[in-house]
Amino acid sequence: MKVEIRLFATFREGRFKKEVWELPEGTKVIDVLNLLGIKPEEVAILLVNGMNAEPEYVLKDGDYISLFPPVGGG
Amino acid sequence: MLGEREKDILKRIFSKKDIEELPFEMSKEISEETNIELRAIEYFALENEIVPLRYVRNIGSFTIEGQKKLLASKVMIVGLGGLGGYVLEELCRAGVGEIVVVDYDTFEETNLNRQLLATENTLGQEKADVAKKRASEINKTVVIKSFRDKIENISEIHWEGVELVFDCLDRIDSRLYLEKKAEKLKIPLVHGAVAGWYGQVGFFFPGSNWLSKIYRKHKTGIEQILGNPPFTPSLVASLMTALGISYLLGELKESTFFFFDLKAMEFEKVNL
Repeated sequence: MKVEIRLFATFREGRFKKEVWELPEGTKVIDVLNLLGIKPEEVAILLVNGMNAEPEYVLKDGDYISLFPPVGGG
Repeated sequence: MLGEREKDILKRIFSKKDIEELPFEMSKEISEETNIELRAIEYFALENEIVPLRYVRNIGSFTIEGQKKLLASKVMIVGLGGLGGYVLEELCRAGVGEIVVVDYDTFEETNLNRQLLATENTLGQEKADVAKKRASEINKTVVIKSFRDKIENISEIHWEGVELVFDCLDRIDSRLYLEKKAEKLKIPLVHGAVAGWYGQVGFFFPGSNWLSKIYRKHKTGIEQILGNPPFTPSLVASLMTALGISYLLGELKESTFFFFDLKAMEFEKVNL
């Protein structure tokens, strides 16, 4: 299956902005995080298809993941 | 805002003046003469389709009815640093009638790169005091209540009548407190946060609990590494003000959240 990965802000550093990955059926978001070398605790906003999701979410063909780091200054 | 007696007095005064716009000097004279507060005078004028001069350039974007709504609104700004200073500036100029401002901090030199109210002259001064002074320099019609305190210490009575609260804080734990408080009071929350070239803005109706979702794992954000350059806070503050005013005008009906990257010039909207 094909899943699109969209990275934001500092997650792009040394990685990419947007890529489509070929992944085996049953892959979870947490597996993608591991492949990216991003710890779940580094992620503030995790979206699948633009909606809030959990690392345990099982991906489907055509899904897109968006990952954002925490922004808290004021 | 206006009692029958005040209305009669103002009706009498305005009937003698053949005006379409109301200069501030005239509002002040009427206020001194009658002891009626400036806000009520401007409200009365708008009711009679006379636009106070200071709001003339708002009309077209706001209707006269909308301008009246803003004048009758009460909001709270929590945090008067990078975001809060600009939000206050814009709300005062827009003509939001009553603003409660809260910050326990004083201005320091590291604030000078981005905080509107931080100047060489205000270093060491209480942010809440400086904010109040600035507001009265811009628009004396606006009623300002300022508190030099942490938001957690603001008692129930000072929340009375607050229709909308602006989260201009820089501490995640206080942001979470504020979200809970707004939830309890059943009022919407306008959120803004910045880090480097990145920022996020949200408008949350009660029930969204978005901040407790996105901040559950973090005490601080990437601003600790990236710092805060001058242009991101002013942009976020303007977006927050636009959302807040849109709500006060009765136009914004749904929660919204977006993230942006000023290096890539990208805006990403999140479906809440």
